Amino acid sequence: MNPSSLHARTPIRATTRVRHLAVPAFLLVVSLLRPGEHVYAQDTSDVNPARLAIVSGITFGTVIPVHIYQQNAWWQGARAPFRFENDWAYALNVDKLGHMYAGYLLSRTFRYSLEWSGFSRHTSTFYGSVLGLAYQMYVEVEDGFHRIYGFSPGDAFFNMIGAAIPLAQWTFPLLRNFTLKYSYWPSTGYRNELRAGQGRAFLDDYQGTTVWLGVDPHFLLGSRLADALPPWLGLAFGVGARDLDETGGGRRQATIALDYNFSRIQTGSDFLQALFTFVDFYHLPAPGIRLDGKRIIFGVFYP
Amino acid sequence: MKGMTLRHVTAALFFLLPGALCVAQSPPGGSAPQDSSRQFGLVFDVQVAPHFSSINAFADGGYSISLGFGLNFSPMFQMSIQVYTGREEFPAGSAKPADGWLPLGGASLEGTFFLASGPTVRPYGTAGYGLYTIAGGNGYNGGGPHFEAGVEWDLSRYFSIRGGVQYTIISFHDPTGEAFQALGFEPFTAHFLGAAIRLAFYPSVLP
Repeated sequence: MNPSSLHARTPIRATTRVRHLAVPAFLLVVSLLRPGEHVYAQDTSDVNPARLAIVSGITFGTVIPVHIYQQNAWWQGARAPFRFENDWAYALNVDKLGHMYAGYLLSRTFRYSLEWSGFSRHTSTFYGSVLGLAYQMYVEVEDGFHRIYGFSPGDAFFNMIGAAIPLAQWTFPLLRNFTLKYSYWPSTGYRNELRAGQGRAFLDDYQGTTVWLGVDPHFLLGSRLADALPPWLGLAFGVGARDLDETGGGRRQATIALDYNFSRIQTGSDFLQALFTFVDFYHLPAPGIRLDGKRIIFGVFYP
Repeated sequence: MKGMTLRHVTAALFFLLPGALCVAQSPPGGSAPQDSSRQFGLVFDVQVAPHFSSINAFADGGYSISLGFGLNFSPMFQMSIQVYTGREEFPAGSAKPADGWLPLGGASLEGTFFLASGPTVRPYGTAGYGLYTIAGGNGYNGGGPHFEAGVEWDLSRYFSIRGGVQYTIISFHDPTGEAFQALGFEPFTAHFLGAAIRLAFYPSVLP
């Protein structure tokens, strides 16, 4: 691989003049200096009907089985009149971050699919968020007809925030240095429930979940430091909860760890680039520091 | 307290820093007629609205926080869906829970008509219909119309802030029959009068 190609996709970098200021003030000033660069781009859509048909087929071919899976795992035999349920304390709020991640993941996935079909990037971003949010809200409305779950305004809040992130990243390029990531390993409780034959979705297994905010730090560094740091190396802040019970108890986890942004590597291959973009939705095992309840742990963390 | 601190740090890392960047990066100026994001496009907003209600004879009330998304069909007309959460002080004489507060929740479909499309500051009127819940859990649902009037001010090309007064009528009922018994309520109609401040984000992406 050509080393120079590693730096070909330079992240949005701040002016170095104020880099010694406190980080928040620095970022605010920088962001004021760099307004959006893709505002009101002209639509250059050139839709490929065959690709659009493939995307539509895969979408319906995925949504329908997922609906059946959710029907069996969540909604079966528990139909009730539509109702709301405030559940802000559930899973120590990690489920809310999970909803945000799901909205973000779906919106970006739809965006890439539409772009591959030939829609322009800005049209794809717009409809990607619309479709991502529509699917998330459909699930939430289905929950509203569940005897126990109900429609959760909190979940809906975070669905919206997640779907809005790609739009905000389009509008404000500096935000592209921030990404949401996810790591998961089935918890013991979840595996025991599966063995006992209890229908349950892994998406609801928050004891095995950590949601991460990935930050590409290159935009914070001076050019010399930024060039010295591999473009694929980043930082991530993770939040999880363990030992959850039904009464709102449990233990929070907060983690700062290294992160990998493989899509920053220019390979010259569309397939590899797409694969790296997909992998970047997940936080892979990486060394870091974890605050686990009252304990501080150093190690390699996954999830 | 440590748990709260950790939660606040989490909130700051996940939302405040990127959010502040987002607001700060928005270039100043930009009024509606020159700004095509107001012509047709998505809008996301967050609103805080303290209110008084007939539940407590307008002596006390509560508040709601809502997030919404919608579509600008023209510079003068917007449709949106709002999702609410909040709290309402428990009425006197009822079987109060320990903290004296009831959780509020709901969602509404709203249409907003701007009385002018040109100026940076413009009056608006909103009408909608919502479904609500009070008490949560096995609590009962309600529904009714919602009205709002106020002024919107463009902070930048991408953000505006609105301030207005709200009036909401909600007829509460009990679909399960459990909540009324538990709380000592009968079906009732409540009136909510409040003030709202709303920050709206108009992304630059247009179809």
